[in-house]
Amino acid sequence: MTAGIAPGITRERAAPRTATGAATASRGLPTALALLTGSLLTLVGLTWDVQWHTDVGPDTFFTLPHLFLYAGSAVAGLASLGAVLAATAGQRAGRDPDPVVGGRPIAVLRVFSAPIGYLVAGCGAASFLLYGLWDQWWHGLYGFDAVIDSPPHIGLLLSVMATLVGTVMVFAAAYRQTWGRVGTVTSLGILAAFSTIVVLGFSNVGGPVDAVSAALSWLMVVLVVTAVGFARKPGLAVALAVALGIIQAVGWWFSPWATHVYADAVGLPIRDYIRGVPVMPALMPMGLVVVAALVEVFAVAARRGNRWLPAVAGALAGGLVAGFQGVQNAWVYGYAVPPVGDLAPTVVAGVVLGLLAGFVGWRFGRMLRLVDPGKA
Amino acid sequence: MTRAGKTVFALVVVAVLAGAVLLWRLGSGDGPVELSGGTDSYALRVRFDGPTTVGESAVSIEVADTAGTPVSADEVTVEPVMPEMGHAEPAVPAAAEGVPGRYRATGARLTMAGTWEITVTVRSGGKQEAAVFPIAVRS
Amino acid sequence: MVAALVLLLGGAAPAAWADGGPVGGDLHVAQTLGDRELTVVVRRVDGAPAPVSVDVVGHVGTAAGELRLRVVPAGGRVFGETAVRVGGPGATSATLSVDRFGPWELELDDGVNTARIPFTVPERVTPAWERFTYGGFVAAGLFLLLALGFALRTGVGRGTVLAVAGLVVAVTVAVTAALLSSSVPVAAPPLDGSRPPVNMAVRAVDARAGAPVALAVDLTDASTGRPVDDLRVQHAAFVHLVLVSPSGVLTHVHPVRVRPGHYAATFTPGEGGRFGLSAELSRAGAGVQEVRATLDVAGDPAVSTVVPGVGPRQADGATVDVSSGPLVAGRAVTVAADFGGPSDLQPWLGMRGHLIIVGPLPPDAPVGAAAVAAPVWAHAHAMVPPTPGAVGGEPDETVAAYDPKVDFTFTFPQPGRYRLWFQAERGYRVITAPAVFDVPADPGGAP
Repeated sequence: MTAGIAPGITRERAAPRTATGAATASRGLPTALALLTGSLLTLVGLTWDVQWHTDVGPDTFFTLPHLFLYAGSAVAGLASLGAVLAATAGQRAGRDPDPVVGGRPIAVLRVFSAPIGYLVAGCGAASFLLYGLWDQWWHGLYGFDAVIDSPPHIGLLLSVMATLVGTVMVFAAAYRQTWGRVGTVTSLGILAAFSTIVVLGFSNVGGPVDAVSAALSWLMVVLVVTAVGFARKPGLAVALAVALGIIQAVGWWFSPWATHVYADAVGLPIRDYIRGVPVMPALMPMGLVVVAALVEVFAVAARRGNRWLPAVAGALAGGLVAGFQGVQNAWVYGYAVPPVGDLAPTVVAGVVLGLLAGFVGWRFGRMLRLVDPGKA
Repeated sequence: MTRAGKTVFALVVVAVLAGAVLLWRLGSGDGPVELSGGTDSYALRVRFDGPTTVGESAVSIEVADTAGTPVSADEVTVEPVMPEMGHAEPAVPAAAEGVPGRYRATGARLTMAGTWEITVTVRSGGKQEAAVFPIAVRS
Repeated sequence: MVAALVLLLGGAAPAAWADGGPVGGDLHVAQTLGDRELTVVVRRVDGAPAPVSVDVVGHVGTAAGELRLRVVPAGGRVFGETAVRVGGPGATSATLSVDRFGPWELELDDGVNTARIPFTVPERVTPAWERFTYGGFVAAGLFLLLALGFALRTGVGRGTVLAVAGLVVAVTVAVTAALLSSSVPVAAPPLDGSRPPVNMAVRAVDARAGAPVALAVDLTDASTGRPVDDLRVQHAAFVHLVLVSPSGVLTHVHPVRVRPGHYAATFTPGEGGRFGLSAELSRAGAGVQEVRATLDVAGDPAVSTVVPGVGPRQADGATVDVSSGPLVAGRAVTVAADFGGPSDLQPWLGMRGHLIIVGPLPPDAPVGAAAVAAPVWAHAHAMVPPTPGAVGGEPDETVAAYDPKVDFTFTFPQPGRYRLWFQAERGYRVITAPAVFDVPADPGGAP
């Protein structure tokens, strides 16, 4: 990885940096907070937007929720750009980039290097804004269909995912600081909350397996196992699940409330056949804390060197998440819980995907440690 | 700015200009008025030469069946009515243009600015069917 | 340069007139199709191609059977067809789809009669500010990529500064346009339009008491003589046709549109004699108008059984208590009908209750013929209270939640004998309670 640092740049640490103090420790905080604000704006916008489309309708393109979505990406993009510029300016002045600020620096265009977390977040934000053009064109062709799984929508969502992954990397790089730990938990929670909507891209997959629940279990297990793989001590995965729970609780209240207030403000009627369920919060798995705690138990042994335990934990977690999702949907939308026979194929898919997710997630977690290789 | 940077910038500017021209072309709507509609048996396409203004107007009409095949009718007439005023103008017969399904009526009188309804009546084989096309007439 | 880029992206298109409000809405329309009284709800269509959701609400006594639903674009062939089973009270749903913008017709076919309900799939016009917002954000994306590239390539150089400036300007333009959009005036259609009155001809072949009569209602423009095909759905119907029998029995039907200017309804007269008819309708761009006609039915007339004054009475299987404030000509009075039981009235034709008033009538003349000549023919409404939580949306007929006591305030313009009919819906049955009021002159003098 050190090969990424460009030749001609001194690798010796500047003198003031060796004397690490409180000032250095919180140096990356303002930019990281700006990035987190952007991520939060996007999440708020999306939760609200999904509810808006369900309860009111896709009446105008530029609704306030859409503005939140776009402004979130713009804020995240500006923050990332600021961090990249600060890093390159620092290098021009002869300072070595500080990995605590946004993660390990990498050089893409072989002259300057920039913190990887901010690069990923910035590219995600830019890609989101550019996807907007395709989305507009698509709507011009097919009307305001307001389906979440149109190609430009999925492109938009994946761009946001990239920004959120960048955010996680930025905070993970500062994990030794308190704000880094808090930020890692928060940004992982946001990422988990956001990924629930991405899986709706699988809504049209038929067959006995509920593809949405299976895909959701895959993403959740990847995140939970990444958390335990990254953390050197137990607790991060449970904290992630708690963060998701808080987002779910707040969203449960917020999204219908904001939708009604906004509809009132712009004078649009609420549809009279709505179910009154907060759509996006209802997708978030409610039992993730239990699953995460289970994975933590396995992780204790896995950290001692058991290589196949993460995959086993993942399989178990995947089956649990996938199976419980069917029960949760039935409970939230008020229909009878499907019989075990109907849930079984989805659970099996969850186990298989979870096995893979556990295997991959553990390695993702170890990779995430690399964003800050400075200290052991 | 480096050379590569300049190239990138130039490319972006060109792409943006091309996009702007495309948007411009897509958004403009100031030409001849063309409307389509239909009756039970016919699909009709009505085209006014240029924007419709007060005075006499010429109308081209294409008559087809619902599958889109041109149809020759016994008689095609154009009747302008201003519904707000309850004012009907004389019906103008449309002359066949030689090509099947193509008719042209000249001298349709639009006597004031506002919303007009142009009724196109197709008579064929002892049956008549009519379709109404709303148009905005400017002074 | 930067500003020009944003302006080009955003302002390239000529200012299209803004249309920020909802385009179209749910269409609730009552239809008397053959001997079935149905309410058809065509849900709002967003874009094309898009699905169209149609609900057909049946009532008590709606014969069981299959209806074929078809959507036909103007000048095109049937694009989609599906069948719904109706029978008895309640709603049945069907989904069709449309493939283009513009005028469409929904056909309801019971095998004998066909109703054609026009609806529009509106095309959205993109307002100028929306293009600015969009263009701004897209330009911001471009500049962000450029700035990242320059930063990695040249550090904080001239290119980077230019790209960052572009980014800031683009975001500013986008956010400003989006935030200002709510204050951009929306071009509203002129409200002071007008249309000529309609002439109504009601035809019926071989109308006799006790047998279903097919009514053909032809509407023509009173200025041009052309068929009238610009009826708006007003109180959930194209035409409200009220028929009053010689003995004072009221029937309320909703003729279906057969073709431009031609409407049809089926009605079974309970007695013979001359019926008085009144049609309430509204032409696009004009107000509501009322036209009257007569219909002669072979057979013997019946005798009115309605006792003048307030008090409880039996109507359509329900006990309805009619009450009123002091009745004086020229003074507003509140009259009420209490349908009893729990708060489960349903909105009928978008209203909690309807009151039709005809008079003053000569005391012993047959009501039907006298009603056609009556100086007052009124139709008052009891509004549906706003639904908690909903914002201005019209609840459909399946919402059974309204107070059983409906009241109306009306000013009887002249003294004399009036006939009143209170209407409300419960359990998908429309209850019509008749009343006869004698309104005295104001002792303080005529207004």
